[in-house]
Amino acid sequence: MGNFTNLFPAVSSNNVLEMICGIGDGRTVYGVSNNYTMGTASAIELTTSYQDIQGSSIDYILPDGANYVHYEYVVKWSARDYSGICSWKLYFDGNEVNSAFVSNASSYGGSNHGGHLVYVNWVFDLTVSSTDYTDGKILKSDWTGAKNIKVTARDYSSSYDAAAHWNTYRDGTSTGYPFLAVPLLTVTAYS
Amino acid sequence: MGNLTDIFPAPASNSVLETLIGVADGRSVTVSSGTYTFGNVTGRQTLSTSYANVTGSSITYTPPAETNFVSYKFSYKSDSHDINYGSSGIHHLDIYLDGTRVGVTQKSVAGNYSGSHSNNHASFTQYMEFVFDLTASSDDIANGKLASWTTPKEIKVMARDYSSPYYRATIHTNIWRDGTGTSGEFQYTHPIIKITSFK
Repeated sequence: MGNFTNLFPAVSSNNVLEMICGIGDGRTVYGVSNNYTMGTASAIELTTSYQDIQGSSIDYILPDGANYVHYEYVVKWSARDYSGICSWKLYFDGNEVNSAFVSNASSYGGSNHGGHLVYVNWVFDLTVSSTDYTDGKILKSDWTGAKNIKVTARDYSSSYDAAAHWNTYRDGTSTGYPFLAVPLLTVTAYS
Repeated sequence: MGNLTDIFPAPASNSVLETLIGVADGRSVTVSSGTYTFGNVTGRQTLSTSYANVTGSSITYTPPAETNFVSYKFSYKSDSHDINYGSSGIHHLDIYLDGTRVGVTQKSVAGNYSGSHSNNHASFTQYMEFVFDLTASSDDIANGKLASWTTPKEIKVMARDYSSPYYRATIHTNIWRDGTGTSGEFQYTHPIIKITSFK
């Protein structure tokens, strides 16, 4: 005999199918049907080449009935030189989502004090009739199995260095910096 | 014998009735309360010293039945604009509901002033976020309180510069990419709206 709830499934109370949320400390998060292990972040300096940003990568499997997937990565950024100008790219299955690109900087200054959160944020639309990676529109049949979503970043130039997961100051001093600021990754699937 | 609820546990439930989320790229999204079309941002927006609608912020929404609270969250990119005065890009924003200013949402945003030079670099993501209270006994829009909300109402953000010609701001703006200036579609960002209706 099957489970009662298989015979008479509960109605969905809202359109959120699944929310995966975790910080970049290597933890495993349990989804409805799959488990996901978050990356482990450490304070890093960016360079003039793009590098994968720790804690942003997830090999995500769509839950049944998903029409939209919201990917949100929140990372602490700090200027290391002047305004710390940097570029942040979002990738889906190795393809850049051009529309999600974001550049970031603080005001220009010789003391490079700038530090705030950077948000890499996109809502993948799965209701489309054909896939357009550049605009984050993915045909459902092109999202079978696990698809990697991740963020990469780089400095504008070596004169405007920036850092990720990085706090320079704490409790009135910078002694012992960098102090780790762990990133937060949230992936939400909607019907 | 165990409890009946151990054998037939109640389905998970929570206070979220509906979440409407989308990018301002002209898409339409259907949720339980209806189909909603988002704005279509196709470029940067330069502010002035008069309030103007922030592109991509408008959505005309009707909450589902039994809604007591509506959260509106709008992300946009703030960028300093002037080429002089270190351009802190001071600007002011308010949320409006059906044409009425929700004064309690007022926010002033800027980068830091860094001296009289041409390096107008400050560029970062900001949020305008508010929770409307639908449990009030009478409407008080300035404070975001409503006695009911059963028909479509427009929620939007309006913004202006602090002054001109100095300290001006642009929004939805990316200036740099890959070690050089942006071009084409990379010159601007698409804001995102998220509305959540709660019991």
